[in-house]
Amino acid sequence: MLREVLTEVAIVVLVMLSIAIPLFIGFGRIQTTWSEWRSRIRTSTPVILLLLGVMLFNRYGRETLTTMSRQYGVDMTTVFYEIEGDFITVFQTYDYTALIQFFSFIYIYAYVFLLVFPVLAYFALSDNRPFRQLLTAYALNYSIGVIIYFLVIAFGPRNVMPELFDTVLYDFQPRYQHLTREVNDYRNVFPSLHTSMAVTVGMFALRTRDEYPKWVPVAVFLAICVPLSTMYLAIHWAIDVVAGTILATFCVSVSVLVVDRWELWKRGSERLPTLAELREWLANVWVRLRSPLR
Amino acid sequence: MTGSSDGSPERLSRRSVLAAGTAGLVATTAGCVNQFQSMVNSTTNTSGDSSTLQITTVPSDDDRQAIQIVRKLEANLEGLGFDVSLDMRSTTEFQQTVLVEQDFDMYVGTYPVSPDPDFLYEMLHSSFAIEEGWQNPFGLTDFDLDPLLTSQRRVPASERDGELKQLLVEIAKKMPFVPICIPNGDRAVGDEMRDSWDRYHPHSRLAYFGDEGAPETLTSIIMSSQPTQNLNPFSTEHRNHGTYIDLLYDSLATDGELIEDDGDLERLGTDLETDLIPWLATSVDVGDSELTVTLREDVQFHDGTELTAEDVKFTYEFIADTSMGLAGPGGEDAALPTTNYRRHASTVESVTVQDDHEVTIAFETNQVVAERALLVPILPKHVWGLGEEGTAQQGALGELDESDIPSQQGRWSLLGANDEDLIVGSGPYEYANRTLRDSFTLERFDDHFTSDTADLPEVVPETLEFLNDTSSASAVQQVEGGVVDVTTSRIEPHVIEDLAAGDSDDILTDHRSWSFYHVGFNAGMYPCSKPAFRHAVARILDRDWIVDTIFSGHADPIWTPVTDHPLSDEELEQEATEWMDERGIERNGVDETQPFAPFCGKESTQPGRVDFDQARRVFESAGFQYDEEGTLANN
Repeated sequence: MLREVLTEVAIVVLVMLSIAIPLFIGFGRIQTTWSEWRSRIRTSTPVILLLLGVMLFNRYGRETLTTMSRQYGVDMTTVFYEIEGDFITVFQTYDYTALIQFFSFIYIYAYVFLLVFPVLAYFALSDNRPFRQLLTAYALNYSIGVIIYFLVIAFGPRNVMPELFDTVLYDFQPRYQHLTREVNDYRNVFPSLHTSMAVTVGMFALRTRDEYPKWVPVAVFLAICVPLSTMYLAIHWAIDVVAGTILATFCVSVSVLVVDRWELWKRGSERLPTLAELREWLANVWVRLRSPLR
Repeated sequence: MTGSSDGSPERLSRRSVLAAGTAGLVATTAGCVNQFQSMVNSTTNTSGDSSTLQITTVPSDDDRQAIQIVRKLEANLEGLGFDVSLDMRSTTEFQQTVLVEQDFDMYVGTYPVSPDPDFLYEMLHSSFAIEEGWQNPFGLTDFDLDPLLTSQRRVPASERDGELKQLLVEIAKKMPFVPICIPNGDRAVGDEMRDSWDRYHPHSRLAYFGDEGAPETLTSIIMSSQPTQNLNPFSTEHRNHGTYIDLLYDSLATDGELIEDDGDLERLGTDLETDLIPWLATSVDVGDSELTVTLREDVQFHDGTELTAEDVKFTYEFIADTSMGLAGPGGEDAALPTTNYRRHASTVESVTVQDDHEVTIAFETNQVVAERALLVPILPKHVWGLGEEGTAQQGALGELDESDIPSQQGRWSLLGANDEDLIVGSGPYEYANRTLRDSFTLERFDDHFTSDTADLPEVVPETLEFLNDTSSASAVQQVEGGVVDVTTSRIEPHVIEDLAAGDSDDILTDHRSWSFYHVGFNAGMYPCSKPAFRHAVARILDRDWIVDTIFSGHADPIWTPVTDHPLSDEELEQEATEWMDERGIERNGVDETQPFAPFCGKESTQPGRVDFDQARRVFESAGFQYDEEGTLANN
């Protein structure tokens, strides 16, 4: 079941990318990227490693954190429920099948596309900074998100008031639950990482409007629809969405600061050995290791 | 932890797993402090404020109905001036909090019932109040109930009905929990398994035997990740109801109450008082307070060891004291009974091995109750026990140090041990593998005795796969699409309703459910410790409304969890009338669904709506005070 859903998401996202890449990035940039990819990867290696590390931790370490979270964290479900009550049921006025389909599409497919596309788009820029900023912001979002997940236990509105919603994603398309169960635990809805990631991409789209003017309306539209979809589908409280937006703002500012002012990753990458140096070093080690054996 | 090798490495790994289990459990039992406090000082709850209440339950993903009952209760209690908060936990955490830590004020959940009302003894008897596990989760000590709970399991069958009537009425008056309803137990089933599932209840191991039409790989949907995480028969957080343990383990008999075969299968002896099918036992001789059981010969455990009378003796001793005498050093009378099968443990007085295939079970109860103890899964002594003196053979218990043995069973690493090497039974299926949270697989045990026993059906499927899915809607879709064969978990009421509305409910089976919804109270926390308060709470819940609205009508409202009770309508009406007059409850007739605690409702035009003026008077007579504006005084 999970494999089928994953394949479906992969296919849909690939189709979206195959339209978006020529439309927004253009062939000129792709050609330059082709000749410069090595040096661009090189400058970005530290941040790529950081993001991979965060993602790996998120995949394999979060489980342990969630288990421990009962001991050290605070259960906020009842607080959220008392503060906002059934506020997000306002969206139930617009209970149309077409709209449920639209927001389900946004929540699952468009969201993945929204995260993947800018990575490619910014990699294709000869100015490498937006790329490093974006990856830094992603890594920050995830790490801070995981820490808050550990500290705050909260179940989403559909788990508290199931009868008030007719637009619950998993009632409409139960198979998606196989996918979301892999990525998230139902005890962790605060903050909404869907929101923070989407808003992050939206903010970057505005910052890079000179490079990618046509991407701006698409990204901003999706960055608004994704948070809406999480509330419409009764997955998140409005509080989660607000917190997600604040988290995004914070992560974007910090990552811009880190990359522009401090040039952290670039300086880091200058200390990295080149491929030739690495090969030489490995050869040295090899020789030294073998010498005592002779 | 997958895979195992022989020799010492395996032992080492098991020991370390057990030790790790202990550490984890110690870490998660911080809440016991609360329990201790509540036992020491039963007049204060956690916050020391009688108007603050916390209701523990599971999220909608795990149980869509429980949370709705909780919110209705919350709204009604808040209307009466209480400050109510929700405490939501995943099912595993819920069972840990309620059953082991007893760290709650009130909870809404389900409790497994069995065809015999003796389950009430396990649920309510004072002697289990300080034990951890499914036994007496409320911590209730009520000396009016105790003699009735005991006598129904002591008196001869002819007098039992009389005792049961008194017991059920007394429970309804003391209201240790508010019974709400028994949900519809419908499952979804595809064509290939239709006949089997019409004949056997999915709680019976026989349901998974299939018939000629059964598929080679039988797939079933469970709506719980618990068995994918742990298959230890005694793990309090992971077991609740379900058949998995009965598939892996055999018992002396199989429950005939769960099958509808019109007597096709042979029954276990005509002298018995309950409907039992011979399983490990081929015959039972009824003696004076004892049953002599003849065991089937050539029965093997999954590891090839022969099952003998010693294993039967060991099992009954083990469930009565899982430390096998090691707990309570210095000759103290301490035992660590299991956290389930508790009533069976206290049914059996002693087991005597006559020869390899004959045991005599002496019991302390009447025969009806004693016969239910024949349904306990039989464990391999060499896997669980202390091991043989002077040999290399070591059982799980033998590998533990005495210092590992705790004072309470909920923290007992052996009972929570998640070790695949421990999953050895003699049952029709043996454990194959699992994927955490997703699925687990069993394989047919080809040497099982049913494969060459003419009187019993044979296991047809070679593989039995349980897949975890979180929603009934998806489960039904998969059964409809032929992707899976059956659902082991019951289909949720709102999905039954959707199917019925779409005229596509012919994939549903007509089963009852063996559990009931209720509001549980912590008898060690004020005000939940007061019967008058519990009664008042029962009166602000409209069970008819709950069933109609929250369960879409797919449940039966109840006043007692025992469905086939001996009370006639007249007797019930008389008892209820007497009780209401005694308590000064205004009445017009007797409410059929809640005779002892009629709902404080407005006119029948507004079902489910509490008449708060009336309800305030009820709480006032329970000792709460309201000022002129109707605000609850903090006392």
